[in-house]
Amino acid sequence: MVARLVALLLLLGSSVVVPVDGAYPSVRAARIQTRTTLPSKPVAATIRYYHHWLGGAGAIVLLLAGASGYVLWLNARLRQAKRYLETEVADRRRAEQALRRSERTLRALHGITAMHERPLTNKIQALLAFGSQQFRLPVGILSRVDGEDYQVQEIVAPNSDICRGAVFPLSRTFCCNTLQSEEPLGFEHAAACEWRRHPAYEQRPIEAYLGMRVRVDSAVYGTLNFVSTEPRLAAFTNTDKEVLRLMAQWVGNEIERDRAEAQMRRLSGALEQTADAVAIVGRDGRIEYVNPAFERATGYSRAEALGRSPRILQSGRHDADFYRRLWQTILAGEVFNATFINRRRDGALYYEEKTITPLRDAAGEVTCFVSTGRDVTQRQLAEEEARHRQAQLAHVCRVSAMGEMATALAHELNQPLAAIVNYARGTMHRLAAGDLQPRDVGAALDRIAHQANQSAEIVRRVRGFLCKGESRRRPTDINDVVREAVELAALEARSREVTIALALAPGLPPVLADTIQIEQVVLNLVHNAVDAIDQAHWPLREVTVHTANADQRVEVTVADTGPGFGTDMAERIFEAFFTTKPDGMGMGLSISRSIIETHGDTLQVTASPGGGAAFRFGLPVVERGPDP
Amino acid sequence: MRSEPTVFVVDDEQAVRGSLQWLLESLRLRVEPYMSARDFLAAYDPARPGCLVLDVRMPDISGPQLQDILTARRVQLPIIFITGHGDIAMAVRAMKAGAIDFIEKPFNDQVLLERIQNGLALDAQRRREEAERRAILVRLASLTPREREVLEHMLDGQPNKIIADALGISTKTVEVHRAKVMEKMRADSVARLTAMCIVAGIHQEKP
Repeated sequence: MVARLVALLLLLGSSVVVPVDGAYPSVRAARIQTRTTLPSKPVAATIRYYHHWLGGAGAIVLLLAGASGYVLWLNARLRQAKRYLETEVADRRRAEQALRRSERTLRALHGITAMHERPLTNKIQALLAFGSQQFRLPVGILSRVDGEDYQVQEIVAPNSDICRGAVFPLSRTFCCNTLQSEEPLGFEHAAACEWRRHPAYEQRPIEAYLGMRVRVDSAVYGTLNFVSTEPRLAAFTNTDKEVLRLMAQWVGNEIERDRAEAQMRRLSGALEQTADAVAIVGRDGRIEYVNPAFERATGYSRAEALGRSPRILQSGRHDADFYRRLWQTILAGEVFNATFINRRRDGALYYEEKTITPLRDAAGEVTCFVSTGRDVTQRQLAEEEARHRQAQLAHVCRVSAMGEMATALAHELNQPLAAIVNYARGTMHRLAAGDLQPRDVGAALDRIAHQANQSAEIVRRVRGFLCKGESRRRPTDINDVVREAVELAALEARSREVTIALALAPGLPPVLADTIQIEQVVLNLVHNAVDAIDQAHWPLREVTVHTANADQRVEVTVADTGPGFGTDMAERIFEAFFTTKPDGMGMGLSISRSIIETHGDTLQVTASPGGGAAFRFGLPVVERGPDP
Repeated sequence: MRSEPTVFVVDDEQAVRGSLQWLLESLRLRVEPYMSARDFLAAYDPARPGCLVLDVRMPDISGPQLQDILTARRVQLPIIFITGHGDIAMAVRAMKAGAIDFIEKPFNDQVLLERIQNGLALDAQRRREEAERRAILVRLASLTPREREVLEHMLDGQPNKIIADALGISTKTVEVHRAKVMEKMRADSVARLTAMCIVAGIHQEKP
C-alpha cells in the first residue's frame, strides 16, 4: 500500500517536474534582468552557473526514472500475480466443481451399493444405469468371460438387440483387450483412431467405449463396460476412469459376496436337512448345536438338548473303558469312529454309527467337537440275525457231516464194544468152567476199561463237534483244533484207506476263533479230500494238513494227492448246493467259506488237474490277553 | 498136537485179536492170532485142521485177497469174515468165493462161537472126506485093468451075461472078477460101490 502511494506520488511528481519547459518561464521571469544583456557566456557557463540545479534536476530525473522503472516492474509483477491468482482461482473453482460432481457420483454409487436387501441382479442393473448416465454412454454391460466365450450377464441398453445371456466370441469384442489390462480402457471416437482396425469394430459400429476388467476371488471374471454407437465429444477424464475402477471393484466384491452367501446357505441348508444326526459339543462338554435329524433320532428337541451334556444319550451298554478311549482320542485331536448304543428320550435303545471330529481354530487349538451319526439299528439287527442264522446253518452242516460219517463212526464205536463183549464173555466162560484166575480177571477188566474209554473218547469228540451253541470266538491253539478235526476225519479215512498226515508248526501264537466252527471247516476240507481220492480210485492216497505262522495270521492248508480239478471248477465248488457227489448236499464248502469270512479271512483253493488240490485259510493272531 | 483144530485169527486191530483170543480160549479152543495176512501165510501149514476168522479191511493184503490166495493154493480152510463195514457186494463176493460166513461187528459172541464151531466141524468133515477119497483111490489103483473094465460095466448096472458078451469072456470069469472088485474095493453092494466111485470122481451120477 505504501509503495503504491509513493509510486503514485512519484508519478505525479514526475509528471509535474519532468516537463522542464513548463518550469522554465517562472524561473526565467525571476531572472529576466540579467537576461537582457544576453550573456555571451556559453552554454557551458550556464551549465556551470545552474550546475547545482541541473545536477539536482538530473538527480531528481534519475531518481524518478529509477522509481518509475521500479514501479513498472512492480506493475508487471503484480499483473503477473493477478493472472496467476486468477488462474488459480479458476482452477480451484473447477476442482471444487469436479469434487462436488465426484461427491455426487460417489453418493449415488453408495446409494446403489448400500441396497443390501435387493438381489444382486437389481443392484448391478442400477449400477449399470448409473454408469450409463455418468459416462454418457447409453449401453452398459457386465460380461462373464469363460475361455473364448463372452457372455452378457447384465445389460442396460435402450433400443439394443443384445439381451441377457447372449454369447459372443471374445476375440470379436473390445473387451478382449480390456481383460489384459489392469487399468480402465477407453476411447471416444473409434473411427478416428487405430481402434477402427479392431475386429470388434467390424462386428458392431461402437464408437465410444469405456471398460474395466472385473476380478472375483483373485481370478478374472469378465468386464464392466459402457459403449455408444455415437462418438463421445468430451474425452474421458481421470475421474471417469477412477469411478469406473471403483465400480468394477465393487461389482467384483459383490459377486464374491453373493457366491459366499449362496455357499453359506447351501451349507447351512445341508446341515439342517441332512438325514444324519449332527451335534456340536463344546470343550466344556455341553451341546452347542443339534440339527433336526438329531432331534428326530434322539427324541430330544433342540431346546432340550442345548446346554446339556451328551451323557443324556448314554445307554449303559458301553463300559467305562469305551468312554475313556473316546475322550482320549478326541482330546488328542484324532477322529473317533464307533458304533454306539444310545438311549432315546423315551428310553428305547438304538444303534448309531457315529464319527466324532474335533474342530480346530486357526491357531490349531481344539475348540469343539462335531458328531455325525446315523441310525444303524436295522443293519445291526440284520447282522446279528445273519450271524445267528449262520451259526444255525453251520450246526446243521455239522450234523449232516456227522451223518455222512455215521457208518465210519459206527464202526469206530463198534470196535471197542465188540472187544468189551469178548473180554466179558470170555471171563464168564472161564468162571463157568471153574478155571478163572484172579490175575485173568484183572487183565480182562483192565482191557475192558481201556476199550470203554476209547468209545467214550469218540463219543465225547462227536458230541463236542455237534454242539449247537452261539458262535463264540476266543483265543485258541489252532494245532489243537486241527488234531481234533483230524481225529474225527480219521474215523472215515482209515476205512477208505486214505492216510492223513500232520505238518503242524510248533509254538504258534493263539488265534481268535470259534473252536467248533473252525474244527468243522478243517473236517470238511479233509473229508472232501478223502472223498476225492476215494471216488476217483486214485492210487496216491494221502492228505496233509499244514499249519504255519504268517505275519499276524496263522495259515492252515489242507492238501491232497488226489486227482485235483481244473480252474473252471475252482470257483464253482464254493457255490451253495453244488456237489459232484450223488448223495451230497453241496453245502460244506459254502458254509466253510462263510465261516472263514466271518473270522475276517478268506478260504482259497489252488487246484492242479492230476496233481491234487490245496485249500488254504488264515486266522487272525490275537494278542495274549484275558478271555473276553 | 497137529490134529487138534486151531482157530486162526487174522486182524490188524489188537483189540480184536486180543479179545477174540480171550473169548475162544475160555472155551478151550486153540487160538493163533496173526497181525497180517502175510504173517499168516508164512506160518500156516495146510495140513493143520481148524478154521480162519478173517478181517475184511486190512492194509497191504486185505481179507478177500487172502481168500483168493488160499483158493489158488487149493487150501480149503473154512473162512469166517468179520467186518465193521456192512457191504452187501463184498459179502456176496466173499460167499461166492467160498467163505462160510460173513459177520458184522459188533457180533453176538454166541453167534460167532456157533459159526466157529460150524467151521471147525466143516473142516473136520472135509478132511475126513478127503481122507476117505484118498483111500478109495488107493483101492482103485490096486485093481487090474480087467477088473477095472468089469467095474465100469458094473457101474452101468449091466448083468453079468451082458458084461461077458461085451468083454468076450465067460460069464463065470465075470463073476470071479466081480467078486474080486467088491473085495478090493471093500464094498458090500453095488450101490455102495457106485457111491465110492462118485466120491473118487471116476463116475458121475446119471441124471
